[in-house]
Amino acid sequence: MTEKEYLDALNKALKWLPKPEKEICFNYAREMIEDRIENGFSEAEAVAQLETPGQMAKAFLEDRGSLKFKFSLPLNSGLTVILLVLGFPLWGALLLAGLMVLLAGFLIAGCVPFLCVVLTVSLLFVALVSVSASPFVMGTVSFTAGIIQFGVGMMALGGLILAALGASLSIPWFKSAVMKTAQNLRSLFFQEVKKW
Amino acid sequence: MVIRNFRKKALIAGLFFVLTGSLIVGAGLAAGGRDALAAGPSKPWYQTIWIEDGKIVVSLDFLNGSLFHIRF
Amino acid sequence: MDSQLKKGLLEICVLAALAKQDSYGYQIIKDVSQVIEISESTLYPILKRLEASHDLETYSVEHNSRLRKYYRLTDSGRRHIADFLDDWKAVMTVIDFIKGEVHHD
Repeated sequence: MTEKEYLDALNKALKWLPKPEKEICFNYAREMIEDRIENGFSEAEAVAQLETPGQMAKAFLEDRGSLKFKFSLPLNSGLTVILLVLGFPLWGALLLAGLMVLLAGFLIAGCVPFLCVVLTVSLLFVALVSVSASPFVMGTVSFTAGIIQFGVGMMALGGLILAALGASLSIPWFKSAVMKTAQNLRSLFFQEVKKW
Repeated sequence: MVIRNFRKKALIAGLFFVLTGSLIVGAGLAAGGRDALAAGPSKPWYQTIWIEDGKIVVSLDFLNGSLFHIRF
Repeated sequence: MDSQLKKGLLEICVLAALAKQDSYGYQIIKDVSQVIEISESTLYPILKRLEASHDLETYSVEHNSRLRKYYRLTDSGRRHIADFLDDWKAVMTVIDFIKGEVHHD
């Protein structure tokens, strides 16, 4: 096997990996072959000393803790294929509607963390201006107005802490909800392949 | 530094500030603040609470826009 | 050998192979395989882990008109080796005890 053949085979075995990661594994294997060639081995000998591309790829993937996913709709019999094609107007529309409902749900749910962040920022400014300007209001407008403004600043400060707290709770919650749904959707059509 | 029970403390602090602030506002309003707040259009930009058309406005104007605005 | 034990030993062997001078992939394999079996696919995760824990760092040097990746031991890596040797002093005492007891019978 030549170096190119070995690397091509490795590339194929790692096709599930994202490109930057594949690049790292690829460079490592090439490094190992070229080091050997520089140490006086022929190309064929150098490649032969390495483990097979499959074993190498397996080690890379296991280290990464990755799983292989396989498309797994039950398309094994001709009848199911025909039914799927005939039924497309029905299940296609249902699938689309379901996805739209899901999307709408996420848009609404996403408003909560968004609102919390916006509220935090705007209340921060309200609190800053209200509190720091309250002495000036006492001077230019009236003493009572300044006191009331100071109270408003305190309320804004409290509100900002509560909004920030809300953001810190709702952002991870929203994120994990999106991740979980994505995983569930994937597991509808894809199956984890642990052995290979 | 790690603050233990951070969320609980933040909740308590937030509620504390909101309550104290509203007490101060309430006390100020009770002590004749309604007249003091009736500033009208001549109010300075850094005044964040005033009374307009008989309604209390809490607002912060920023670059010709309103960063925060409620009236009740 | 127990695989967990081997994993730990391999890690220290790789660090030790870099103690005298910086080295590159194939040289590390050659040096380490004198004492313990190691392959490319076992070396790779070890190098990655050690680099992530800052026990070693990498740099590239042009060599025969290509870039060769070199690995260098850091201070943290040296400490790692020293800690390992300290731990094994204690283990050796236990082994001596076990040997002594067995030979008495």
